[in-house]
Amino acid sequence: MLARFFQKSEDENKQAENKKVEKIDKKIWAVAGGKGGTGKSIIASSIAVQLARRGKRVVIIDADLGSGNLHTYLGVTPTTITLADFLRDRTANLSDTLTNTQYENLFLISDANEVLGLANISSQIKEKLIQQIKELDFEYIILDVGAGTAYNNLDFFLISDQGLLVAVPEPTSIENMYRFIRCCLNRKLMRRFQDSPYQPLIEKAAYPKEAGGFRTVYELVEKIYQLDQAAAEAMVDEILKFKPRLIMNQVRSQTDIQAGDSIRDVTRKYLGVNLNYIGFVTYDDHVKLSARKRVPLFQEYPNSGAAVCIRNIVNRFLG
Amino acid sequence: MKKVEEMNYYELLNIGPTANNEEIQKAYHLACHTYQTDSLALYSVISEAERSQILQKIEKAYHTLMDDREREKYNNQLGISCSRKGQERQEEYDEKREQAPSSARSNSARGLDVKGPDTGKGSDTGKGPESAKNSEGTKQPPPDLSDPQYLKKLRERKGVSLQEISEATMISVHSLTDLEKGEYARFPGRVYVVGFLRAYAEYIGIDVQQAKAHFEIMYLASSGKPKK
Repeated sequence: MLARFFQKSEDENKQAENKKVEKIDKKIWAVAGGKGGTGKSIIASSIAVQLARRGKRVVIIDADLGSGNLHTYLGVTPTTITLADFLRDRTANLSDTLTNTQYENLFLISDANEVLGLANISSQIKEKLIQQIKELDFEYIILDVGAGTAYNNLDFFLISDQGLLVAVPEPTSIENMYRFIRCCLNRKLMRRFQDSPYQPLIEKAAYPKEAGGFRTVYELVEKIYQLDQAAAEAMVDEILKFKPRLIMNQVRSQTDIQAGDSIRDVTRKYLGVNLNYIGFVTYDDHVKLSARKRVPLFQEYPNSGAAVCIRNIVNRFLG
Repeated sequence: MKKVEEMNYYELLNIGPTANNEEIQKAYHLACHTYQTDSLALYSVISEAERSQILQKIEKAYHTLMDDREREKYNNQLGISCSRKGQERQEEYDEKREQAPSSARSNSARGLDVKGPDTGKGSDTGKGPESAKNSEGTKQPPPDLSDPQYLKKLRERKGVSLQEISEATMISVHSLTDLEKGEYARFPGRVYVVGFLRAYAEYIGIDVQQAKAHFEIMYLASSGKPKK
């Protein structure tokens, strides 16, 4: 079983090295990263615009509850109806909160509000939101996930078909991204095995520094393997299904670009997760300029370095 | 699924048992980058002592796998044999290398590929891991994409003249000079710059995407005002 896992991991790794991103037909993409200020929202909004420009019917949801500002990146004036109205039960359907953008086939669900406590929604409301997100009638649903490892962020990321992690070449960003990956994996395993007798062991993996805790996912699988090979195999399968993708943002040098390869390797070796490094975005002052003007990067500076890099990433996904 | 400490040399370097010398060197350079002092990728993951230990193992892996006899002994210990396919791949690589233009061979032998790894055979070039490490980042740090001299420096380090590129690509020396200086306004359009840049990069053996990223940065800087 262990050999099989390794072989699968090896294959994935080779895929990543070849930078061949398989074409996908699934529709929910979540953009996260663990750390604030890494460019998640600008990348999420740019991906949405690029998809719309390619003729796809797209909705982008500001899932950064309580801190949303996607409307600014998209040049949309804050509307009277927002995600808060759905979360506060003022409207029954999430689709009622859709806002038009300047792109005919791109819609926004904005989180532009100052409602106290909106960042701390109950699990029931979150489940209702997730259910309705899945039911939205769009080809692509882009989720702009907030910073940090709050359950909301982890759960939004885990419902996606494609989880994109945005990091910048700085230690704090990388540290938080690893933390986000670890927490996502633990959350995923705890949910999948919630009725399993091994649930307490999985919980230990969530607290690696406590006595009897597991430092890595390998130690957890090893322990369960000793007790129940079938359960360990099911767990490995679940781990293998978790395949986030990495975008290095604000790169300024070849060393920054190469850091993505090293991060992929470290994530696989130490976190047990197949992280696929799908591309980089160069540091570019036009991003800031477009945000100041409150217009999409692709509208104002379509040939800027950052726009070109994001376009390349989307094109590689779509083929 | 293995702990890093339990990985064999191939697993540690993320290569298969049939990897040829070029693949081993590339993998070695990436591993050196990953496990270097103050590595960004390792931050918060392992301790300094662990990092140092793994780096030593990487050095040992490199020495062993680049030495035919040592590698054979190691393979026997692992219970694997170097397949015919692997030998064929190595022969094919050697053959291609022999047929490559002299400039490309000399570039390769200098180990100055912008991507970092030395693409020449260690035994032929006489470059050991120490010298390889130097080209990685200590004595010769990788060029900065935002450096206006990025292309020129790389070309000069590779010992390729503009005249040589011009003859091979049919692009005038004048245009190549403008390309290196970032005088993009002298080209009829952006598409020409990108096309010339690709030919330039491919000829001297640097990564085309990185060269294009450099162009994007310089293009914006040189235009003064962002272009729509």
